[in-house]
Amino acid sequence: MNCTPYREDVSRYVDRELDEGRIALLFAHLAGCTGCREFLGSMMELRSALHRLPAPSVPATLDRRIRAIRPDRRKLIQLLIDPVHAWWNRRLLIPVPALAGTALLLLSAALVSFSLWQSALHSPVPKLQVLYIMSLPTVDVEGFAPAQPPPIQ
Amino acid sequence: MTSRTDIDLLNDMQNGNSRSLGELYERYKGPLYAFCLQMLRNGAKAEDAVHDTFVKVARQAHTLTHAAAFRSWLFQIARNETLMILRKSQPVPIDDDDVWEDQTPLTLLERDERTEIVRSALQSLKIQYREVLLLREFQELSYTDIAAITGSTESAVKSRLFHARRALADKLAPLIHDGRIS
Repeated sequence: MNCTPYREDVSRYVDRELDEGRIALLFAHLAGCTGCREFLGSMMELRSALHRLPAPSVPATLDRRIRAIRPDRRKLIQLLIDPVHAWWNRRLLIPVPALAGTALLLLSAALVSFSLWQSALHSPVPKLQVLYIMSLPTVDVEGFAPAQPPPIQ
Repeated sequence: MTSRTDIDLLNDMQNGNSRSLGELYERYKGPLYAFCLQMLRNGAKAEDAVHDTFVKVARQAHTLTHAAAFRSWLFQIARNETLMILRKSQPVPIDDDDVWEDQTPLTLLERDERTEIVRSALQSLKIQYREVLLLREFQELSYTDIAAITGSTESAVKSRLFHARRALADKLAPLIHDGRIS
């Protein structure tokens, strides 16, 4: 019998990452497989051996080096933007459909106004025009004789 | 008085409070140093890795989008730092089925130093097996978190854990069977 899938399950069982269904199948297999039972035993022994390893002590030089680190402050621009962003989110949050509808309405109004203005600019000169006629009075100027037109031959 | 959460400390730190960085360091220095030491097998290099990790934490805390995931983020930075240090000193092969990095630790049995044997066996695992075992056994991180930290899949994490454990159990079998390990 190929025990590898069951031994992989043993590893997950030790990690408490094996689901209930697989646990039942695993223990059914363990009941009849000495090799896998021994494998489970060695996994448990290994875990306890690893957990008994003493934790290393952190060197004091590292403590001093870490104390010398200064965290970066957030950039000034970010500090200015953050309150505006929060205010926008709180006060001016407009639903997207309403915003889109308003934008569409404004765009339509702008297009209509533009087309009216263009048609007014390029419209032809009206045929009916008002003619203003003035009649001026005759004035005689002393010492000035108007040139006589040449006689007609 | 209730202790402040990682998120509180991160927020304070983003406003330039270096004391909060110190508190985060006190909270995580033990596990982080142990992780780096087991990864690098060298105290001075482990110290550098932890230092560089906290420099990055101080500078990049504002880039952390989910503050609740701080612990995973911290170990992800530490792992990258250790790999960078390892790459400077030696290449890190990743597409190799062999589990052991050095000669097997059987010769160490003669020393009869139980702890040293176990530690040496652990540190002799190849880096891709060692890191998942360290993150699972000592940091008790979930498969999901380990996959995120190591940039791999959950199934790869499960597989590497299984192979690492089986290899360790095989090498430590004389101690286990003699009852000297427990």
